[in-house]
Amino acid sequence: MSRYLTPGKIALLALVELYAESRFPNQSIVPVLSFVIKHLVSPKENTTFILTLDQIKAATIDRPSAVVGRTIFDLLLKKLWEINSFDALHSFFTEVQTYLVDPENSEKPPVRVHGERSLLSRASVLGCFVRRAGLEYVRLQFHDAILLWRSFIQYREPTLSSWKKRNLGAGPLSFDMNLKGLFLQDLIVEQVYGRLREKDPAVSTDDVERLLEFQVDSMQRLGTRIPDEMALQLEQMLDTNVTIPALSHYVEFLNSWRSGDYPGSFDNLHRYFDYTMHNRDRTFYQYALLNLAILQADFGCYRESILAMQETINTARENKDMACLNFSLSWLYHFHKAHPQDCPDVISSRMERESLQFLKAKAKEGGMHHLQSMAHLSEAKQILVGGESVASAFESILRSSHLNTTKNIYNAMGSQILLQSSLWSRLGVSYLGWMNCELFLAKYKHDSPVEDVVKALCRGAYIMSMRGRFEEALERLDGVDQECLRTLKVYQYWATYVGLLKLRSAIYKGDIAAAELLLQQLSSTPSVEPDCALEISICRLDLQTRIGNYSAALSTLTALAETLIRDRSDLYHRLRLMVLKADLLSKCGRPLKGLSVAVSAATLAWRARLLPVLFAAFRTVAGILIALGEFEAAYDMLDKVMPQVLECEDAELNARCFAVLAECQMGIAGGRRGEGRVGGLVRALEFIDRAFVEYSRIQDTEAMMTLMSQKARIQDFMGDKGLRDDAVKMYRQLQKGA
Amino acid sequence: MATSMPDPQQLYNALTTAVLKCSERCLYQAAKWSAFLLYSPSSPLLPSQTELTYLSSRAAEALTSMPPMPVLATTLPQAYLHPISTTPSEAALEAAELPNFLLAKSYFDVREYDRSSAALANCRSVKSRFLHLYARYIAGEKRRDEESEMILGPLDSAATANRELQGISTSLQEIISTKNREGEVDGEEWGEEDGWLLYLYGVVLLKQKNTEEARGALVKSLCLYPYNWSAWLELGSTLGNLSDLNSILSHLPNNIMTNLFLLHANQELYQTSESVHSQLTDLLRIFPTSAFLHTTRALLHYHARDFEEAEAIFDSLIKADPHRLDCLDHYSNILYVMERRPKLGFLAQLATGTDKFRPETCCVVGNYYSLKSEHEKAVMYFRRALTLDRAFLSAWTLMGHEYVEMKNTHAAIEAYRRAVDVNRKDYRAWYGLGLSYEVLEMHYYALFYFQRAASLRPYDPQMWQAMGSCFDRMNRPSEAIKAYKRALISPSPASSSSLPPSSSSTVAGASTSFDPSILLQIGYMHEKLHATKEAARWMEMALREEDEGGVTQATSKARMWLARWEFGNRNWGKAAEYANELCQDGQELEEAKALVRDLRSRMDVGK
Repeated sequence: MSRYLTPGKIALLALVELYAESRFPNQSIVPVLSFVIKHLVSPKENTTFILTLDQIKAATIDRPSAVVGRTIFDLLLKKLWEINSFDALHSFFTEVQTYLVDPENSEKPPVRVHGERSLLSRASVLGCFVRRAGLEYVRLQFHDAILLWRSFIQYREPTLSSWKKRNLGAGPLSFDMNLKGLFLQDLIVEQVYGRLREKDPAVSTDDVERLLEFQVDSMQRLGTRIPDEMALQLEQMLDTNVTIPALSHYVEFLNSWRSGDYPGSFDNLHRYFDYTMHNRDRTFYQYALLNLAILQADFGCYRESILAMQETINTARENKDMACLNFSLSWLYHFHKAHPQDCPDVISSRMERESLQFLKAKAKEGGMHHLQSMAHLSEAKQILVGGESVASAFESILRSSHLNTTKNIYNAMGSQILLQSSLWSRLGVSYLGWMNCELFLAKYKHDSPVEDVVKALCRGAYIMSMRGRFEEALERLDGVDQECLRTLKVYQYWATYVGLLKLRSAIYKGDIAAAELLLQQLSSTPSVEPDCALEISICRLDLQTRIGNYSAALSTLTALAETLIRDRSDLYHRLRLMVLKADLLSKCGRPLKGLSVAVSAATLAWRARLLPVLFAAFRTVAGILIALGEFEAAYDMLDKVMPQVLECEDAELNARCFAVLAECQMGIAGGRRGEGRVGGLVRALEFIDRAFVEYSRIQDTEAMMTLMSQKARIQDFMGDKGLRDDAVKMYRQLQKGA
Repeated sequence: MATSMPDPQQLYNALTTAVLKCSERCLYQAAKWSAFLLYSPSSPLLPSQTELTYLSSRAAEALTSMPPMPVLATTLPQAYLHPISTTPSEAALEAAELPNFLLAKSYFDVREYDRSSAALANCRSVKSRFLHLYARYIAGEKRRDEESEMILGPLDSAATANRELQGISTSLQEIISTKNREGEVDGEEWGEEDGWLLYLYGVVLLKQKNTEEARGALVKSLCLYPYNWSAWLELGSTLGNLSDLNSILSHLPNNIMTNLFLLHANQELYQTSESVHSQLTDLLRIFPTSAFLHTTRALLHYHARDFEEAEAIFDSLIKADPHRLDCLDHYSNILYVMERRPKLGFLAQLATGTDKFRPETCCVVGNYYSLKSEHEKAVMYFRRALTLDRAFLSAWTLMGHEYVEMKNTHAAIEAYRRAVDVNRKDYRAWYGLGLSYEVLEMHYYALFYFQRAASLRPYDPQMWQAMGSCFDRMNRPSEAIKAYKRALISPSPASSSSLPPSSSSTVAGASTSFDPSILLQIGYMHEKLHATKEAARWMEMALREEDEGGVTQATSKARMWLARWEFGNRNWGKAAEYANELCQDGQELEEAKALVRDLRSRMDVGK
């Protein structure tokens, strides 16, 4: 089959010819020509891969032509049916070239005069099309030309009935004038056109290539796999006898990569680059290496990946391929950030020093806006991780956002908004964080990589779960577009989050068996994102603490803290661990030991404006103060920050704070007599109720039972038997429920 | 030559056996030809059922020495599946060597020629010997094809030889001389089987350019076994002209095959006389649907420039059997001359659909592209045809034509030369060679080729005309006049050209008239000889042709000449008459007007 020409293109050529013959009245020119040009120059639009006659009919049947009473479609039909033999097709291609301006004697200015043949300039879109079509036809071997002719007959066949209306003589054999006087069952007809009825789609290599490019583009841009339905169609198209471009191997590669088929993706990647290593006098070795490095990294072979990437950088340098070089450097930078322990020291040290500045400068120099925007985001991330100025982080995000909006970089939007969301969360405004996620999902979902979409979804669900709305969060996660989950990595990320939420809820509910099972499943998942891994570890800690296995919890904590410090990871996470440690120590009955840890965590958190951690530290400090008998101080400290704590919308934090406040009040009440004591106890009861509400949100049964027993005791002391019995009943119920 | 109508029964038997014998000896083309001749749905040759059983029983009787095959014997006798020799000693040998032979044959069928030949190295029956040597010959041919370079490439020469030839011819000579000696001693006659060996001997001799002996061997072979069409074809290729044919005529066997051969040979030699046609009609009575005969008739019409008739015959042939590609290249030539573009395109489509790697198909496609003035592509397809078969004559000639169109005269000459080397009877190639040399201004050389062409087509005016113009260029006007006169007396009307590319050069005229351009040329020649009176006579003759063909370039030129001549003779009145006529006709206008002005002034002075 041909490389470029298809029956659809012949029909377009016929339309161009009609236009050049000035058969279009003024009002029809623009719509019909824009139809033609849409099919010639904007291959990105996925509806235009195969141009059917019906599409042309729809575009032209309502357009009047310069001939009275005939639509443009009528004229087109006439033109097409006048190609009534192979020879006529040949002549059609030769004659269409005469509609081009002759460069030798182009003294006549190309002004359109109605009813006169006007020439197309050679460099115009239509002129180029006509020239290319002519050239491609000349290139065709005879039997290929015959194939084109046969598929053209097939293509035109459905219009026979409309052609018959104007031409009564037309019959089932009028597609070739050489068959005049013959019948369908004649041997010769059978021999020449016998296999016409076998339907093969009229596609050219050019069409297939466009389709594959579209696929690669969308797969790379969105990080998805081919939907099954589309894969089937593609298979059918590739099944025809067209020459299939090597690009199809790349599509296969992406597909198997995304589906997690490690050997398959290697095989296909190598196959693709075997065919295209030297193409158009350029070597593509660096790109092969780049793909290989990313692939290795994706499957967790970090060492291999680093080696491949180094080779990529060297080759790109040699070949002066700046785009590849900058991309590789940026990738390496991110890789280094994500997996510092796998990077050799040489690279680490190189990465530390102003590599980001270098990247930014290079990206700006090369006009690679996407890379530049990403560099700004990385900068912001670095600032946040280091716990530096929030303002400068905002500045960097703003810079990136500016680039994204002015340069129309859609697919960087996801990273930017996600970073923004996490920044808000760190500042303790979790509502804004959630809003950002929702905003992204509502507005940018369709042009963004699937990974970002799923990340935003998970983040949103996580924030929801923090408010105790586990059911809703899980529902949201379940509502994910199944098509997104066909990519293995994304699926794993999503599944980890689902598991994590279930685990949290199980821990709160005191369902130890379920929690342990979930934990086991989660930690056996081979490659999880670092932030998920941390969450899982924290859950494990929590579980161990709840079981009462403090020594195990402490050793887990220490090991975790060590890795975090080694990897120089996010300050936020390190502080969280410090607070947890202080909590653990106070639970073990060594509150004083925890004090210094908690206080230093608080100081650091304040400096970096990591408010949720700061408040957690406050709570811990308050708890320690209570243990020391400093009720007033503890109450003062915590009471002042309560409005801001509530803003964090973290149910657990709220509940704990309220519980601590209640204890403070009880302690204060214990130090007073008479009215003061009763007032304190009433305030304590109030706080207990509020804490109870918050705990019931996250269904933390154990804590609720503690609260109820406290309440019962206070009521007992206050002498309100009814209320006390209520509390006791409640306690019993909780106990039964658990 | 005049053989009586053969007994259909015998003919049927003979042809059936011939098919089997040929295919047994791996002469596939001959087998195909005979089978095709045998097969015709309405042929009177087809015996009825009773005859068939009779045949089979008779054959079974003849084969009592062989164990009869239980099932097949009822329908087909053993002899039809594996025809054995009629001489008992040979039959015994064949029976003994049957396994070897079958092995060799199967090797041959899968194209392992050397192996096939080796498998029969020690066999003694004539049949085995034949296949042994034939396989060797084919192996040599194959090797030769593999060694030859790209078509018309820098190293491509026709000289690559079949290296096995010498060995084969030695063994054959040995066999033949032993046979001769034995014949002298025992008085043993040459058997039918020896015909095959002699055929091979003839082929080898022919390859060694030993035409005379080859002809002798082939004739002898055919006398022994006349149903070997390959041998007839080889014999045909040894004939350079009609006298060659006449010289062997008396030696040929009295058989229907001889008639078929004569018809074929006459066609090849461009004999389109009535007698050939009537002969053909006779044969058609025996084989009414034979495509071979119909094709021959179409070719005869083609040679006689009756394109319409030829086209009609080819049309019906294609309709009857669309898968048949034989001779389609000639059909495409016909359509080319008739400039039937869509039909030629359709034919190309048809041929491509059947087999795009047949030389015939490539020629059809090449002709199509040539007609569409895409000469590079045409050359590509002719080249492909030649890669498929280096001995494919029409491709060489047509390629020559294409090179002429592309103004690559040297390549054209080489292509024509190859055509002539393949077949010395192709007048178009000779003519093309002449034309090419004429383009190169090598007239003396060109003359030789025109003479060759004219000797092949003695009644084609174009050849003589070309020769005339050659003589003219060489300043030999008297010879030129002779040549031109010869062109005038040719029986076929000069209504169309013999060569496709120059089809527009000649002028339409009625059947009895003469071509005015030739008359004009003769006039010019006489002028060169300073016989102006004679010249004027010829010019006037040319003018007379206007009654038939109307005013043409040639007649106008003649009139102009006459006007000047009269002017020179101071016949002002006559000159003015001619000049005024010229002005009316609108030809040679400027010159005529100038002459008229001049004449007026002179006539004014005269008054």
